[in-house]
Amino acid sequence: MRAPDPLGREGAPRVALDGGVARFSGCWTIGRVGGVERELARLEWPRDRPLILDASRVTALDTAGAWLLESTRRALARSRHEVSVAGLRPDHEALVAMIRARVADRAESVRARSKGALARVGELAARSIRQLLGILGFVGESAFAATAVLRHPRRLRWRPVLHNIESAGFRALPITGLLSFLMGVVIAYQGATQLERYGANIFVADLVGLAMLRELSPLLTAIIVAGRSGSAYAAQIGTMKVTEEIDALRTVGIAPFDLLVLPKLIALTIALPLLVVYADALAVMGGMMMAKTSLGVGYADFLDRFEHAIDLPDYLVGIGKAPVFAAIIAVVGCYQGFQVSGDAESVGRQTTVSVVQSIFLVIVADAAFSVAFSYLGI
Amino acid sequence: MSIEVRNIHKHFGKFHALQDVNLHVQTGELVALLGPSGSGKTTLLRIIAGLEVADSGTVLFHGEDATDRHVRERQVGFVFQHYALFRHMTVFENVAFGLRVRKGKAKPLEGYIRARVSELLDLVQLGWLADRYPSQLSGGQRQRVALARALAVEPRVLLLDEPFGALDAKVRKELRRWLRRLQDDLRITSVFVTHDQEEALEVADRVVVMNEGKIEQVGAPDDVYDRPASRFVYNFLGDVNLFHGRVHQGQAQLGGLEVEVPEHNGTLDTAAVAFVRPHDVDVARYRSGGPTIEATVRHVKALGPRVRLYLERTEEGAEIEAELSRERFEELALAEGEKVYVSLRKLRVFVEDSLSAA
Repeated sequence: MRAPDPLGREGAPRVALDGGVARFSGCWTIGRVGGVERELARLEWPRDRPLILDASRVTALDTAGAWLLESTRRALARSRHEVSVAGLRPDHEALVAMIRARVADRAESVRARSKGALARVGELAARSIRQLLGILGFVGESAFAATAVLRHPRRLRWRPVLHNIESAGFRALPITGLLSFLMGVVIAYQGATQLERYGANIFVADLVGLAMLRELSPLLTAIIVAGRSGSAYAAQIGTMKVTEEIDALRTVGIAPFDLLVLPKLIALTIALPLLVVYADALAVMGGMMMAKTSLGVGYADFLDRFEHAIDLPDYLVGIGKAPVFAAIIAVVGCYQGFQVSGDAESVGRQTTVSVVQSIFLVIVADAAFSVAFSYLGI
Repeated sequence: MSIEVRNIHKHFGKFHALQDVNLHVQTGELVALLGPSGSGKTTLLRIIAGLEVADSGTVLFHGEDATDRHVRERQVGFVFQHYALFRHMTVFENVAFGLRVRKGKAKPLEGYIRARVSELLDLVQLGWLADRYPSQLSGGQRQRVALARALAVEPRVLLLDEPFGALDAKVRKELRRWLRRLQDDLRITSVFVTHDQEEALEVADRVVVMNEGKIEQVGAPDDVYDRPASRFVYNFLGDVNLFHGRVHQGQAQLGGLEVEVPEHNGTLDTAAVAFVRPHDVDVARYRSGGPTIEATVRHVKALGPRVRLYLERTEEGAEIEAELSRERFEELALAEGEKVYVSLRKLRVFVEDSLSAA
């Protein structure tokens, strides 16, 4: 194989098996190595002696060639041959070593993927606990910053607070109003078919009032705001993190927490209860309209009954939940924003997570409220 | 103000990003941190800025320990690779922001802010763009705004993280000359990170070459280029040809080439590598007096005023890169496939123990 190739294809990769020694020669590079791969597959390797892959006459080697060499060696070793590679030039040696490390890496990651169910459950639990601890830490930080501001209210940046009240509260009026109105209509309509059967038409006011004011209206509003504003918080902070604006703020001398988190937290705890008040009103209107059209209960009768059916505590319970929901949404949204790392893809991921988590936590909190209220008898 | 970094260690998980880094930056100096990605240069810069906390070690500003000082109190100006301008603010407001947000006594008067911002925008030659938003500017303009913003807070140290990395070649060249001039005028202690060796060599007073979390060499640009301390530095600062061989008592045997290496007089039969820059490789049609290597021309590539030849050694098939001036190339009138004789004008031999150290 050393003699110049009569066809003039100098440097074509070759392999010649001579006893236990396979002599490799020529340019083992990506454009040319394909043929020799087939040739290698056809070779009959002797079983009775140790094999040596002699690469001393390889004139050029790239990663494709090195991979072929290495995978040949691995295949032979797997089929219980005693095999060694000899005669590599130092630079080729380095290349083969790199390939070997990579192949080992991949084998490792394949092994890592096929973990047992128990390990996966454990990992999930560990991750959830880490998340929870992270959020708790963030809550602590928020509380700390908030108390600092309460002590020195002049330190608070009012302009972003007002700006956030506008974007999270005022701009959410149309959608919140419409959805609450429709919710009132739906509840009244569902109630109407049942109530009509007993001739208890007038109790539609109790139904709509209690259901909406105590439970549905705060919950619905919180879910809308989580989707609208919680996600926006996560996306805004996340994007700023990716573009290094957060770091820029810090170098300019501003604590990102003061500028980005606190105003949002304060603005939302102010805006959400107000939104709930508004949603309550629209929901009752919706119910009233439905009561008139499908049950024949006039507006005056409805409102008269409404006054008797709903006590002030019922109303306040609903509104009282709103600041808690607001805090959950703002904290989760901002926290997930800060969890963004690296690329733009991560912004989308954390934004989704923020919405799912905040809605989940809002409903959990709502359930906790219900349990607590029934225990307290409110 | 001088910066000193002592025994800094930093881990990211299991990854040892910085390993016992020590560095001293003189007052008014412009220092480049040069290295491949993952060498820890940006991490070091962020630790100096206070954006990142080191696992151990100290950072001193003007001889005072600033390790636990908050970013705010370090008075650094930081320029980011992707500008990090505040998108919803005009250029003017971006630059003014650092001054506006100061509270209480430190808050400057509106008149002062206006004057200072205009002055800075003039300095970066963007006064006419004050009312635009960042999205309306080109990359080069944005980076200059970012620089003005960094300078607005009257930093005692200016830190730049690959400031020209995202710009095209021409703008990058322009901006780095401009940065050099700015530095000559303002004399703020500056540290900038780059992976572009040309940029580092052109702009900096001193270059710090980093690799795998360690400093390989610190020195003036000429020093680092002409007298690389390690194999890595040689490799990283420009293209290089490698010749494997052995050294014995000041004689290097490099595959058919015998060279005197007086600096390795005491070395006895050790494996060695010789490094030769492509422009230190001379190509001739005929064998001359000195030691030569026989080779075949494989490719010829013209790069502006220079011509690059890719040669294949006849003996062992290894590739040699040579760079000639266009005149020299035309004089030789070489074509692909022709046989030539290569001689080496200047080479540097590293023996085995310094290889493992590198």
